[in-house]
Amino acid sequence: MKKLFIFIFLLAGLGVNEALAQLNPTDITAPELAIDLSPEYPKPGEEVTATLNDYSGGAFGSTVTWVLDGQVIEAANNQRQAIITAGEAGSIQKIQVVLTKPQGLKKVLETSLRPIYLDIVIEPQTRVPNFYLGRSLPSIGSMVNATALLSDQSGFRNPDLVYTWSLNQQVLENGPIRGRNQVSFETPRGSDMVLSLQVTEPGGAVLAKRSILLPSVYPKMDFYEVNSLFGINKKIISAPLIISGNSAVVHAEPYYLDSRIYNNPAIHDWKINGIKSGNTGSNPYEVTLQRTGLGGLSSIQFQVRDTKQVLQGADGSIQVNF
Amino acid sequence: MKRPIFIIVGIILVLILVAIWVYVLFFGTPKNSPDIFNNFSFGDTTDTTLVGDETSTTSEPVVDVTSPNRLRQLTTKPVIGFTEVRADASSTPLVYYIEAGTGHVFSIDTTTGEEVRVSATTFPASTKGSITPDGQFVMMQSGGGLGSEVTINRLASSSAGAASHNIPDRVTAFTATVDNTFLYAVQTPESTVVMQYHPLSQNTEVLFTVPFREATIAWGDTAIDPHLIYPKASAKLEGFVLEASAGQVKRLPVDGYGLSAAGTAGSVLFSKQTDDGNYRSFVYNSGNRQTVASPLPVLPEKCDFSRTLSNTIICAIGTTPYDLATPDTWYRGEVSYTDSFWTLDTVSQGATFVLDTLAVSGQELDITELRINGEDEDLYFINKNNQTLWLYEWHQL
Repeated sequence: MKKLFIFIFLLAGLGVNEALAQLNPTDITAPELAIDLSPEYPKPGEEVTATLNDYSGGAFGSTVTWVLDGQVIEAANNQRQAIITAGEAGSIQKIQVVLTKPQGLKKVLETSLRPIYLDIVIEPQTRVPNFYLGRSLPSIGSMVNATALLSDQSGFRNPDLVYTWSLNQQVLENGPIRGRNQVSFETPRGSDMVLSLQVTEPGGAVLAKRSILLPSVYPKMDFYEVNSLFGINKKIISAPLIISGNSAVVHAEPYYLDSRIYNNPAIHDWKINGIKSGNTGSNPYEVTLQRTGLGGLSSIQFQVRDTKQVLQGADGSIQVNF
Repeated sequence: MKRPIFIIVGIILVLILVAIWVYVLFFGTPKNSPDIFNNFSFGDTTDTTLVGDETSTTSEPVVDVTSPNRLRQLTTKPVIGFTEVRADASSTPLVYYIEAGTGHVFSIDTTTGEEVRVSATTFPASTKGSITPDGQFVMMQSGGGLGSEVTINRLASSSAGAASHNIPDRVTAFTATVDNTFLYAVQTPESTVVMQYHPLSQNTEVLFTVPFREATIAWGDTAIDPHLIYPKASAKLEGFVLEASAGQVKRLPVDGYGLSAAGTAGSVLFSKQTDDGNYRSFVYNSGNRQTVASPLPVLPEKCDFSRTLSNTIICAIGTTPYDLATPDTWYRGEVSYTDSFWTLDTVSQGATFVLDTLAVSGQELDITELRINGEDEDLYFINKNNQTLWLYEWHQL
């Protein structure tokens, strides 16, 4: 009989299957009460909205008191939200919420703000003339360089951190890379794009997170008159250009054209009244107009285009009065 | 005689008469007539002597120094750089300027109006230049982009220092300091390095580095003064301001879209787009770390700070309102302003009208490169429309 019981016991044990514990992940990761910050990683001086999120109703009937670095925020008394101004770069601000239950029991929630500057410098590799004091803009298909600068009161942080870049929610460089505070990407189709960056310490703690909206523009052609002695006139030719002498030099400037195309265009044509002009100068972006007969109004057109790689181009025209 | 002969002779006579008539009609001139058709009492009109120009001299003044106008056009030629040169505090200031395209250097005596060519060395396609305040050295950029060349040349042969020094790097910005050195920015593949060159000792040293390439620098007066650095302005891209001082670079709480800035050791004047969709200006005080609104929106590139009053900024402000395309449209030359002078008080946040340049000069002046001289006496600026150099005798003291 004893051997029979042992046999039955062993037989029952062989039929035991592993059963996974039916656990709801949210029961583990989501606290009952939490302080949510928006934005979560503010820059110094930025307004932050702190919200008491009561996932399970545990704060029901409690009074709410907000405390910032030991000082009560009177304006947020008994509110579920508080507006806080982020402090100096590199500082740590302690935010507490004191919940006083009807029975008199107190529950304290705590989080911290660590304001820091995360600047992303956008440098599109598109054309602007030397006299143009501003930055160029990205155009569809052009390359853009982005540089991340993390800084606090002591200056720039050592770039030996982990950077996760993503463009329109697609991670660049196939994932986070340590020390990679610079990235290059091609401007996608569309009128704008979202570039996101998360910076973490090598140990995994998130230091800063940011998303910026970047424009994508079409190349734009402007024309300027050139004086052979004094150089380019920095005012755009908008009204008909009046040629008082016998000749004039006109310079075409394709703003925001991809630099690769500008330096090596597949197509670059000047046309006068629709007829292609044989411009023999060394600079394909300049044409010399010479009066040869009766005066009058003429149309000058220029186009520059790539047909192989970037498939980008720009064109424009002006009126000239001889 | 036969009738045909008479007819032929008659026709010939008629043709001769017609020819004489035509000749007299088109080529005949009346003889001098003693008749007087009108007498306007101009005196003796038979005097044919030529009245010469009694005021012409070998150094004819080019600047009108007798006019009561305090706003004067100093050049008709386009200018790419200028400075006021004084031998000492009591001497008459000379204005040195660099002619665009040739790189020739001239000086103008603002008291007598005389212009003298200081340097006839030609720098073809010169686009930018800077002269030391002692008038001894000039830094010149010829050409543009990758092909540009930058050299530093001695203007006076009696001065010490090298006659010419070439900078092989890719220089994107430069200036002369009040203590007669040059500061310049070199663009590397991933950064901008700012350096100082001493023309007398011919020594070069690195001052600081910023980790991006497309940088605009608002220079301090000397190498040790604070300099402001920011990504080149764009109405559609965000910028921020860094301050470099004593070799250290730190981030200021100044950022925004369309951001450009100018400053001194204590204040930063900056303009940017605001959340309500406007283009506005502000002043950040480095001492108390507070930012206040400017009474008027300005382009910081059209402003300079008083040398004697720490809370006064003088700006050139046009009547055309700024918008969300500012400053890109001004940089491109699509928009041109007709400016008036205003002073801004950063303490009282008030603005005072100074001068309507259009009413005084009759010309549309789009003011740029505005510079106050050392004692707040004079303002110099370039008219962006034609690159000519102007002077306004501010006489703040």
